[in-house]
Amino acid sequence: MAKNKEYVSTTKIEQRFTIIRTVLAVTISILFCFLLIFITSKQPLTDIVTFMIAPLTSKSRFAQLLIKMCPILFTSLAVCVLFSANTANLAVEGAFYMAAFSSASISVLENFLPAPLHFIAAAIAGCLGAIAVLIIPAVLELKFNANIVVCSLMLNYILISLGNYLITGPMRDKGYSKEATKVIASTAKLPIIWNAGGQKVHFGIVIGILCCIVAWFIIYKTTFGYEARTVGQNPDFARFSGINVGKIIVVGSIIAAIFCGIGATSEVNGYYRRMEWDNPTGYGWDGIMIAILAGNNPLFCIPGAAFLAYIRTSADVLNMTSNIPVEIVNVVQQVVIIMIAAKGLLSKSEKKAIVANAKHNAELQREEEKAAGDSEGPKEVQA
Amino acid sequence: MNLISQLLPLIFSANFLNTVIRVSTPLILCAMAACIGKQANVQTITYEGMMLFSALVGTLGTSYTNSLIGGVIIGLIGSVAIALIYGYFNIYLDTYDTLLGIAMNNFVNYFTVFLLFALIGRKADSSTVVSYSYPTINIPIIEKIPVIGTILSGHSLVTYIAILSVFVAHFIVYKSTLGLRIRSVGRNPESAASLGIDVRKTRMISFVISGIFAGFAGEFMSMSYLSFFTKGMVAGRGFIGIAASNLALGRPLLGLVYALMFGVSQVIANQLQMLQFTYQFANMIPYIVTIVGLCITGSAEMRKEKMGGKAKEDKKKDKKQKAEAE
Repeated sequence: MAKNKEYVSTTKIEQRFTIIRTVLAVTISILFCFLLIFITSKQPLTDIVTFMIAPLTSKSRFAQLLIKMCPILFTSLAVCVLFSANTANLAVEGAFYMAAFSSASISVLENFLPAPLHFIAAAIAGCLGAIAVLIIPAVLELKFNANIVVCSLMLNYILISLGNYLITGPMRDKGYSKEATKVIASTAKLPIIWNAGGQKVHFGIVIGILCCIVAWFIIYKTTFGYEARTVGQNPDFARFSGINVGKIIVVGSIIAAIFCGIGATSEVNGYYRRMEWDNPTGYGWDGIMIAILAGNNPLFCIPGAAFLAYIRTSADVLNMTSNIPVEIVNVVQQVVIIMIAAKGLLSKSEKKAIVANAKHNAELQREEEKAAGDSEGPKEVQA
Repeated sequence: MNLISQLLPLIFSANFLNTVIRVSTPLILCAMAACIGKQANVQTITYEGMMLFSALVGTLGTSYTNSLIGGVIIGLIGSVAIALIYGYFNIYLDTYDTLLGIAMNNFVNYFTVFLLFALIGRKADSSTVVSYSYPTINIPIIEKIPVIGTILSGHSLVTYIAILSVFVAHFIVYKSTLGLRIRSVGRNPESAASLGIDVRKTRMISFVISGIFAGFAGEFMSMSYLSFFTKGMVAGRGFIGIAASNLALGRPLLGLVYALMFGVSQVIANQLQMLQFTYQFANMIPYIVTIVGLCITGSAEMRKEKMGGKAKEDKKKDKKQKAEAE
């Protein structure tokens, strides 16, 4: 029926409005950011210009952007997998943090394995650490019906203490002045692919982009992904059509944990000399923002992560050139999330557009039938 | 064993109970806020954000207005503002509540640091600003009774407000017209709307009430527990309050009991730290207790649902049998 080019389907209008809403959300947030700069800055115009173009002004700043993009790419993939099954597991933050510890325990071993294998072993250890964390809220929700949001948030608080214990106690290198583990073995390090004025872009970004493709394949091209999306859209329908919802949630958590594990290992072994996080990094929260911006599509996570890394690099530059604190980016980030999540935004005009379109389609159809009726002689006209 | 034998005398003392009441104050207030929210069936997790914002705005407010009451009012306005922003997005713009809750919490978390830096040029705390704290109050007669005096007297004004808030919340929920509306909106919004109750407005009002309770809780943190604001000082107390109200199924009086229980676990954690127990593990205790609590209520609810289903089936069977008999 709708093969005629002039017909527009409702899904297309919905998609169009999703795009409009995303653009609107980002614009509003950036305007909000300008407002904050305007209020706090002593030289607002220069600062706004710096904020807009800073990462593109030098090679080292652009390299900084790529470095910042790396960890948040991985966490956003983890969140994509969780959110497409509509699992509000917020322990990604803690999982990423713990994965860094478990992988570091392997990475610091000297003469352990030859070059690529050592990294892989560390990544596997990282994955196991992350799985151990992410599986807890999922199982508690399934077995005990415990509120997964509050549980996973509480778990994050527990892991802050655990991480602090590990870095100040058993895993600390006592011969080093700061709280950090031993030096990561050279065999476990990731190669540097671009050195721009001291800013070393490591191989993690390539792994990240490959993982995006894998995640996209998992979500859109496998049975698991299809089932997960069904569970995400309508859990009751999924249950009635024979999908094992519990299994999907557990497997989804494990896949998400694997991305966390690989990400944490790449980040630590690519960028740092020692593992030195005495507090969670916040990358888990960044992942949530990017996944929402990307509509849970892993391929859109790449531009999403680039956007966040862009404004974060800008904020870093601003932090040095003016009196504006880095936290401005985190504030803006939350505004982006809120604006995109606000489904009611523009919903009236969306409904109007859909109704208008339906009327238009119906008219087209009537005219067509009329035309067909004229050529083939009189025909019954449907009401 | 040594640890326990050292801990026991500390627990069985009047001072311990005094500390429990002090530490529980923000938990009680937040649990009341969450109880109102639970009765209206709004799944908010933004109490954390409301508390943090009122903590900052309140303590800075006292120093800018140069009076305690001015700061208190500004703090409450701040927390209600956060509640209203949340409410507007959740109710009028149909935003998914979990996501909105996290975003609001993180927003407040970073925005307070931003404000702190913009206003006084520091990022970690506001200890350089001269601000007022809530006064400590000794109750005239009770003060002199040996044990009870130590337990009940000499608390901050907010602590008494917290205890009062339990009764206020109980009154609002069960004895007032507003409470009836809130409960009916929470139970069944459609039928409430058919009776002419404005569902959205009622929920917004419940957010305002929650905001006031959470505001006092936040002010306790920066104007009584400590005398200044520090970054992220609420540290999950908002979530513990939610857990307490979940355990109590939204009943304020029971909420008080559970909030005190979480307070006890927090004080034990503090005492363990003083006894050379690894402090990171002691810090975990309140959160672990919260998770265990959530599991217990969750599985109880699940069982109830199953039982409820069975009871209905049984009734149906009974009816059928009766019909057949007739």
